[in-house]
Amino acid sequence: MTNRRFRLDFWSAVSLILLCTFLLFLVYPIGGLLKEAFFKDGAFTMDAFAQFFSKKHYYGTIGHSTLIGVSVTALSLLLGIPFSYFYSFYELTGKKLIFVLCLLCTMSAPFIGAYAWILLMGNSGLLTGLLRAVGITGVSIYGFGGVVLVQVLKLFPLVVIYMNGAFRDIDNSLLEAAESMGCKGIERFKRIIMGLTMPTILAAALLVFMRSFADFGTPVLIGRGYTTFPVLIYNEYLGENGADFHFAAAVSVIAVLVTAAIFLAQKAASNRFKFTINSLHPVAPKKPGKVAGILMNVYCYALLAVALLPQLYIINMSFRNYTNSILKPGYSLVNYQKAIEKNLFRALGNTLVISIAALAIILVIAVLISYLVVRRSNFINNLIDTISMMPYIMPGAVIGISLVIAFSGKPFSLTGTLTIMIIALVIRRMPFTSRSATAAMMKIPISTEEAALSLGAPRAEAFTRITVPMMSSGIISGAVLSFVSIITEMSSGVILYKNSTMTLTIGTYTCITSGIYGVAAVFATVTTVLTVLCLILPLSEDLQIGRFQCLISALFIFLSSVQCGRRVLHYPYSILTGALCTV
Amino acid sequence: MSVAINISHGVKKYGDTTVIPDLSLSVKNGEFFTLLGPSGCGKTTLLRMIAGFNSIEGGTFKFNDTVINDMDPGKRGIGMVFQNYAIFPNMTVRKNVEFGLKYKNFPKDKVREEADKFLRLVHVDQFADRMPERLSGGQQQRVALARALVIRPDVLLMDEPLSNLDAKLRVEMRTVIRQIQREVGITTIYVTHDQEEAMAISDRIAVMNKGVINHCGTPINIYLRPANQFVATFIGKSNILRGQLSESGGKALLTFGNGYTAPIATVRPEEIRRREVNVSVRPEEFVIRPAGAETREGIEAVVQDSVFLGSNTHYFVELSGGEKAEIIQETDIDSIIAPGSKVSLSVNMKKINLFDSETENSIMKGVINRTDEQDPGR
Repeated sequence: MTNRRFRLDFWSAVSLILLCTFLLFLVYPIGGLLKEAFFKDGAFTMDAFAQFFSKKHYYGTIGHSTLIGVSVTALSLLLGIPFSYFYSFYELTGKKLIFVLCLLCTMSAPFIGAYAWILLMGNSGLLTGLLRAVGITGVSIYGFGGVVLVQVLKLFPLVVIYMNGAFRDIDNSLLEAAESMGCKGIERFKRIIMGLTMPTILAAALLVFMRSFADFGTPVLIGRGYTTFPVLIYNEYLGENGADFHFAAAVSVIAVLVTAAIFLAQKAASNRFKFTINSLHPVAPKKPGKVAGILMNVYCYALLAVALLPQLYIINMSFRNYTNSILKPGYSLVNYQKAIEKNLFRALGNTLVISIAALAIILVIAVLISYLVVRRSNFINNLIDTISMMPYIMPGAVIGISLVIAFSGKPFSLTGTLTIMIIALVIRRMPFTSRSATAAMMKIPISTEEAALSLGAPRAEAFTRITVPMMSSGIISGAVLSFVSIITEMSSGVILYKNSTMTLTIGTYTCITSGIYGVAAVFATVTTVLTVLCLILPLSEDLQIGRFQCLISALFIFLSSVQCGRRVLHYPYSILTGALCTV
Repeated sequence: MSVAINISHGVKKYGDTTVIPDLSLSVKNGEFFTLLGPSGCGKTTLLRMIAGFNSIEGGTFKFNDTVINDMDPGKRGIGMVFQNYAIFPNMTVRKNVEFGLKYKNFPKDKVREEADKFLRLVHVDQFADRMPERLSGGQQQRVALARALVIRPDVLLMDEPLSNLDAKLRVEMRTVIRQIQREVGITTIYVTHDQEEAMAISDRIAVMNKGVINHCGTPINIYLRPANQFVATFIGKSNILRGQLSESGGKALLTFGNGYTAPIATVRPEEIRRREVNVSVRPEEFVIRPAGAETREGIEAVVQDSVFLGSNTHYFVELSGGEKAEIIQETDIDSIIAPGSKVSLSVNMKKINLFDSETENSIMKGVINRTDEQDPGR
């Protein structure tokens, strides 16, 4: 906009501060990572890469991760697209409930699902026991299949939420036009609906792949021999002969190359589908036929049940009597007592401090970036935008490693502090929030701000009094989702934490790995309850249900699952175990 | 306090593209001045340079004797009304109007009173405590006007303020704007692409094309004696016909395509010589006579189509030379000429305009085209 000589006004100052911040906390660590990967004792070497490709144990991990990513993406699309089609085009029972459940599924902590499935189908799991009782053995959650199952159940609702938006943007007259030319049913779905939503399908696919590829919690818990690369990075970092940064850095570089390649491929593919729809007449949901309606409802609710019930089962298990990893009959609060001894409250406090601080920083920076990009597009601001997007293709473990490398020694000793965990999360979540902030900013006409300027408001004040309030509705739901995903974050934290900075998710993980399953269930329960509260309370207005009702229903879900666990699960289970014992 | 605006040799560039090459303009104190032109002609760019939202790459912009080239928009003493109203959606109507007073060091206890006064002036006082989204477009525009005026600006800038309203409301609002501007007596620069609106509202108009002012003058002069062919065709409707000018005893004669010749007294003496000209004839400047009546000389034409519009009837005719023209006639009882009829046309020689066929500039007497201050002549 300006051809004027560079003047240091408010916004140029913001640009410079942001640029320096990103250079320090993002570019510098990535530089450190590259240096660590390619240099040993000050000399250039490719030996870490040679080592990586010399053993199947190493290079296999990238293959494993990629295979899991591709399978999970394909299955999530296969399950999610029909689900979302039913949801968007037909009147199903309890639509809002379905939407909330989808949100809960996809926002739950990544590895809690995995842990739930261990409790159900692990070596001493509920279902394993049941199956054994009827003579079926050899079914196990561990390995490739288990990882894919758990991840698909967590990620398919993401496809549903994405596709629902795309389906709602389809103009009904396009469908009617197709129908008037004799294109109906499955044919119409394939040729018109799929075609129109292809950009969204590709975007959802990329997101699912990135999440699945970079997931640490699920494979580390149930992967067993099927090692993926985040697990490898973690193991190398925590290696028995001390941390091998050199090798971990090299693995990280290779992982980022893979994600970058996938990212570019997706971009190239979606460039072929560039068009805009003017949706004047959105499709109104139809009443399905009787049988079809029942089938659709069953499909949706059954999928959600499979995805969510295991997590509720954890809540039940948190009240069971445990002696370390041995399950004892009866219910009590003994796990909670032990959890409190294991610093449950400190973990909860840490989680809240980290999440609130990270979210606040993210929001401020994202809003500033969106302003600079939309209103003050120039080389430096576009550079800031590009840099801030880089973490999109960086798995959490890679960010964790780079930060450890960059900030473990002088001049910036930050390892083991809450600060570095906050930094990691800010970096991780920035791309998502800054995208939604930019979208919100683009919808605000520049004239509103100019009106404020013309009335004498200083630039900073025009921004805070006019622009930010106008954006807020656009970024609030994004902020809620960011907040929840910060709470449930694990992959970078597990590398950066130490005992005093432990969070709820890391607490769960350490309890599982040290075999105190009851306490782990408590940590997982608290995480889940916190997630549910954080999701439902702020979104209640969007969902047009009262806040109070939400609180009640959240409590109800919590309590009823406990009750359910007692009455429904406990008795058959104890009868069954009793029967097995007598046999 | 209102000011005079003086722009000398203003330049606007975006990178290497020059949008306004060299523009000079004076607007009198208290004048209602309109920038008129097709979209992309640079009128909004110029307005935003005056407002301070666009940088100025050359020349001087002055409010009275103060150079404002690098002044912040908030310090220029402007009130601006935007095309999309730009009402702050997060504030009530009253808060919108009070917004600017906060930055003008207005005594705090008088703020509300002052805002109410201006809300009454634009007749939206009954909505003062509503949120803007519950107001109609016309009401929002009134609020925008009150918000711009309440800070007692030196200059009122309006950027196509009526283009988002429906036709009827547009007519109503332009009267409101004109009235209030007279009442407040504030120098106003108004941007529009609607020539009828510009005519109705302005003291003076600058017709712009490609960043250059083609004609700056009163609405009457611009319509009757356009400075060039672009202005003639942009303001109102003009049929451009080929013609030949010749001289006979110091008097000018105009010959149309098919040989019809008539004397013309309105050409500037120094332009009278044998030359090709473009003849601009407005649709109402034709006179139709049925062919074969008492055949006097005229341009022969065939009526191709007619559109009856109540008080007027439009005819689309093909002249004998192959040129097409549109004619407007007052509707008479039983007078509509059927398509296919042959007619003979003459023109009102006092009203038509001639342009040099190469430069397309007017060669007529009475063109008043001055960008410096002058008496509006109203």
